[in-house]
Amino acid sequence: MSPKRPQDPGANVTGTATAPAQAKDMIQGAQQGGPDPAGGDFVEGLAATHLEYVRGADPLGKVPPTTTMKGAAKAFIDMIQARRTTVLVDKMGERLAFERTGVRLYDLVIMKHELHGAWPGGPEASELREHRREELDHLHLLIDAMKQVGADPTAVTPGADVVAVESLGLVDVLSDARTTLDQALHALLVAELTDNDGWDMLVDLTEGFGHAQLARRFRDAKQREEEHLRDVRRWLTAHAKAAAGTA
Amino acid sequence: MAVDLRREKGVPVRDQYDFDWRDLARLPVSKLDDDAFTRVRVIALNGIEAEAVSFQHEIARHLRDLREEAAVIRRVEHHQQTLVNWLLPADLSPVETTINYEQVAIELTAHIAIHEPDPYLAQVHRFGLLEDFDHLYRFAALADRLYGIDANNLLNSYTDIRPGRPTRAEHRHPHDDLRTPYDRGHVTPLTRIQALTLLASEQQTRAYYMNIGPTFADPLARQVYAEIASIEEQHVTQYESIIDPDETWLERWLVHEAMEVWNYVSAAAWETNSRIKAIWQRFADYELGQLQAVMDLFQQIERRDPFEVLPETLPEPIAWESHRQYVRQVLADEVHLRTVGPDFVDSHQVQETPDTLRYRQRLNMHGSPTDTVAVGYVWRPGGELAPAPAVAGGAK
Repeated sequence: MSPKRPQDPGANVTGTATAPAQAKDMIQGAQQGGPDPAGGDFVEGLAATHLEYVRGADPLGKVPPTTTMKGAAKAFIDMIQARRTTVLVDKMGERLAFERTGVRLYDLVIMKHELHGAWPGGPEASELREHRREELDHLHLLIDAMKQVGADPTAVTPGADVVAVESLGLVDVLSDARTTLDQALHALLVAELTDNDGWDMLVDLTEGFGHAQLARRFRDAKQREEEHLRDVRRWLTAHAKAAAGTA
Repeated sequence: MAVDLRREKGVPVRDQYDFDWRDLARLPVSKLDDDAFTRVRVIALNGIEAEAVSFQHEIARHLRDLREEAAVIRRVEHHQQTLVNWLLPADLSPVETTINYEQVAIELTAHIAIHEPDPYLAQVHRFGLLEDFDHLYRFAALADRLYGIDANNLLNSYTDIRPGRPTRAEHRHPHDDLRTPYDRGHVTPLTRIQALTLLASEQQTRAYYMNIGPTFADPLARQVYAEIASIEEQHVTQYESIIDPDETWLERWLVHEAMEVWNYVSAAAWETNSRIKAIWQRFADYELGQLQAVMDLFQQIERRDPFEVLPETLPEPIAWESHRQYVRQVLADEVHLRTVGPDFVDSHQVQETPDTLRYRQRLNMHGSPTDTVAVGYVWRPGGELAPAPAVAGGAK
């Protein structure tokens, strides 16, 4: 079942060293052609183009209004105290979207683990399933939390939209039938790193808004996520050493 | 609201060469804040323009005398398409865009089926509707299960997410996708305009899936796009087959331009984003100008009154709104229909043709990917990982 390892040497034609004569021609051709237009600065041109669009641009989207009277009342009190509830809602929506995608990322890792198997010091199926269950718990926690503050957990907040775009590449790595378990875990590492920072910020914000009980539950979630991160790092380190023969 | 085609002259084609790159690549609409129907209209009108460009290329390839006129109008159509299509934002991923593509197919086809005066063609439209309706369900499952995306974030609760005629059962031999065309001597202008609108929509959907299908990494997603793209090819086959192939090129061109005016006027009538509405109004005027140019050609070359083909006033605008109850009724009444040649049959009473059964069995010999992706799937707010809702949600 195990595919050829990506670390094995083989045909890879992306570099110039595989075709030195043609590479020499390539260099010669580019030098003969020269730039067009000559001079000028790309970054300046890029910035000028961006400036045209920044003027008058709307953001990706805005945070939807609270959906309950209780939420509206809380938002009003926050407003009097010069706090913007929408920032908290945006960040909760961001984590919610990330945890939902996180469950799907673990689904893909679990599948790859079943298909490819692991290595000494690599993940056990039970560990991956446990992580997946915790991601789902966190999703449900965030749905509850958003309802508590009167926000709509089914809406995509701007922060959620940003992490959805960021996650597209992670899904691509994990869902490609040609990637291996260690490559999938590397994508998962990116997810867990950013998730840990996301939870840290959410705990701080929630405390700042005086939601002590929610902050406590978020802190528990953050601890689980720290364990996820430690596990993924450990599995990847074990893989690198085993693959390189330095274990 | 009715547009009088004898009086409305629009912007002359020579004045339509007024684009620049900043105009063409404008700020996009918002995935989060703009209404689903704003995206739906952007997608629909992109399809209308894509069809206009490809039709006018065919003119250039077949009619020596019209090459120059077609080139001049076609360049404007190309730039119109660019401006329209570039309104889609980059944070709308391909699978999310797909959700809105299927919403276009469902809501547009529903409107057209309701208003189609020819009963046989209305049946053709309803038949296609239930197939695209199923595609939405399959793609919603894919978006949820692969990416953790709730399709309703794109649909805004206007369009149901539930099975239609199962995609696995939609695969038919080409002979069973060809319908009986309308007769150009007796057809109403509305039928012509509606048929071309749907053809444009299905053709762009096919093209879109063929372009983005291989950009997915997941092998099941790649199969799902391959399977549904194949049905979109069938739909193009179906919708082009209802158009009388004996129409003259200039008759067809007249209908194209009138159809484009109608689509922009409809979009402008329903648009909620004022910035986008201004674009629809501008392009409605451009299309009126293009229609004038083609009417002149028609008079010069065919020596006939264009209003032998065109309506004097455009049909009522497309109702860009939810057709939920209508679609549910069609689903309840007609999901079991199949085709035998150009005819629609009750699958409980009449078996499909041996050609179709063989064709389908071959394609589905390892199963249908759209079954695999949707197995056990029932949409719920926030996606299937969210807790089940306590009560059935309300509808817009």
